[in-house]
Amino acid sequence: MSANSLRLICISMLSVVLFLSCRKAENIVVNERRNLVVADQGNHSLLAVMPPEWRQVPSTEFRMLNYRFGESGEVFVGRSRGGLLTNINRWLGQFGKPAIESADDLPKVEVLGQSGVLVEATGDFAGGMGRAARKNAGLAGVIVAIGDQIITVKMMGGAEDVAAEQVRLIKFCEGLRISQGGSQ
Amino acid sequence: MAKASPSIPVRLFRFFSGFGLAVTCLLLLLILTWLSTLEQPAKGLYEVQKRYYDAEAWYVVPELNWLPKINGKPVSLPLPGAYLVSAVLFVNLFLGGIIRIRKGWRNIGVVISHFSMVSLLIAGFVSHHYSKEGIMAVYQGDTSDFAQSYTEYTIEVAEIVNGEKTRPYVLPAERLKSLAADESQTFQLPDLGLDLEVSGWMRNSARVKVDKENAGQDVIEVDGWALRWLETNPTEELNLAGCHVDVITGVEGVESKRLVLHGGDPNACTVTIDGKIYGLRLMREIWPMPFQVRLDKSIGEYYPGTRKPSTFQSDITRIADGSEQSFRIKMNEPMRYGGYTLYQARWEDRGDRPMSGFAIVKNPSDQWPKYSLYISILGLTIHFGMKLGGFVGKSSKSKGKDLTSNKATV
Repeated sequence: MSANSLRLICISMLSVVLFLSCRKAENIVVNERRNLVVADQGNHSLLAVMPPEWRQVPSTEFRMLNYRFGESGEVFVGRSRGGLLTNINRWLGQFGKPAIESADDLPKVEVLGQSGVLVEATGDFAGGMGRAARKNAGLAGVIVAIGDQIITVKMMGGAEDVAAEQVRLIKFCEGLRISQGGSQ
Repeated sequence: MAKASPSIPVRLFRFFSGFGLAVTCLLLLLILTWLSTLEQPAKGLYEVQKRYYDAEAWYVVPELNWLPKINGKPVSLPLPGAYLVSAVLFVNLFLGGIIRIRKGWRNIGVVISHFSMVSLLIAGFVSHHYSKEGIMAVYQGDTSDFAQSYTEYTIEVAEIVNGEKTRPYVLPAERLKSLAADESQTFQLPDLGLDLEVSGWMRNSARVKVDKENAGQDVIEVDGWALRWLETNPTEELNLAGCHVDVITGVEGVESKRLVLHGGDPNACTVTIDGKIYGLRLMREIWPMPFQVRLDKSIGEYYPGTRKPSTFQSDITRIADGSEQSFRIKMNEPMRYGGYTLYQARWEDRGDRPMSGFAIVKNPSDQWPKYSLYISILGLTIHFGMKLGGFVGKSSKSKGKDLTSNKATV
């Protein structure tokens, strides 16, 4: 093999290496889909129809379903301990409101086939559970007793934002259902 | 007259089919296996396999503390990767042991033995490129129809209709895991009319809450959450990947939306585009099975005072094509079905219900090493049998000769 041909081979190999190292990553087209499996039904039995105006964010230990809306509004579904009234008064207490003795006068919302109560409050939120205190805050939430469990759907944010989202919250609560599985 | 030197192709053929190359390859494989075993406790099995044995690992620089140091830095000793060495050994065995070898009845055993080694290397190649492995975790009484990768992360994108997930699009895990932290990659989903730009890939990360106002400029915060980079865990299964995703739409006037995805998130993050809700989730790759497994009974025991199972077994029902069949899966007694092998790899009982973890392997070359060994036994038996026969024949002949010569002397 002559020196010229060796030189030619070296130059071509170097050009290939330079070309490969300089080229920009090309876009990848994704068409692959997979079939649904039991894991796609979620980590808990609750199935919710979220309004498109909200966005789902990761669940946490105390929030089975976790949503955000607008700039700083949040909606979350959780389980709680204690009775219905205890939870209502805890929520009201966070806004400095006096405790009530009966939930009978509160508006009712149908959740998972049971009658839940709608709790509303506005004012200064005292903070708690990792959330900072906030002035002119709003709360709208539904508490329902299902068997020996308490399910809560709590919406918090600016007072005006919460008022504007309340209709969606009620529709969301009414749309909650237990997953039947096998959603192929 | 001077002998003409052989041409370059002849010299190349001789080199690639020679004994020298075979011995060098085998020695290199021995050294690579030894060094990778030594590195494994510190670096972890996944990392070591990737660095030493992957097809992309053309060379490897062993990272061992006891290597001699120059100016405080350990000596850098690059070695060819095991995949490359195996490929060269394959060529060498094929050319030398099957093509170049002298053919004839005398060498038939040797040719068969070489063929068995070649087929063993082919089995390794097929297994490396085409086998798949995952884990199916099932609690007693539950039914499962999927396995999940131990290590490979993917991003799934699915439209959510009436609160239910539709069949998701799956981004290629191979590309995601090769992303560097400062690299970005665009994935186009033409069916959804979306582009996803994935950036800031972290092999191990934590999702942390951040205050929007107090978050530093370099922190990417979405809805009060950000990612924190973590040192890679040597046990790859424990690493939780993280990344940022910009969802870019072709819809005019609709801005791109950024998400922070984390491998530990139990559910998807959503974006709404043009009234449609899309869920995006960074998760370990899911592998749907063509059958279902119902765990009827899970039995096991821990070593005293530990959470390490000493023994376990599972009674399962396999549901496929409308029929049900019961099996017992024990240690070293897997269930095989439709090219899948299911063996119990984990067992756990945290008080509520016991859980069995079944490792599911689909390897087209699953049984090939066994057959290769049978071929090898056959080849070596023929070869040594012939040698023995020859030796016995020769000995008896020379004995006969000796006797005749002794008689003559007498």
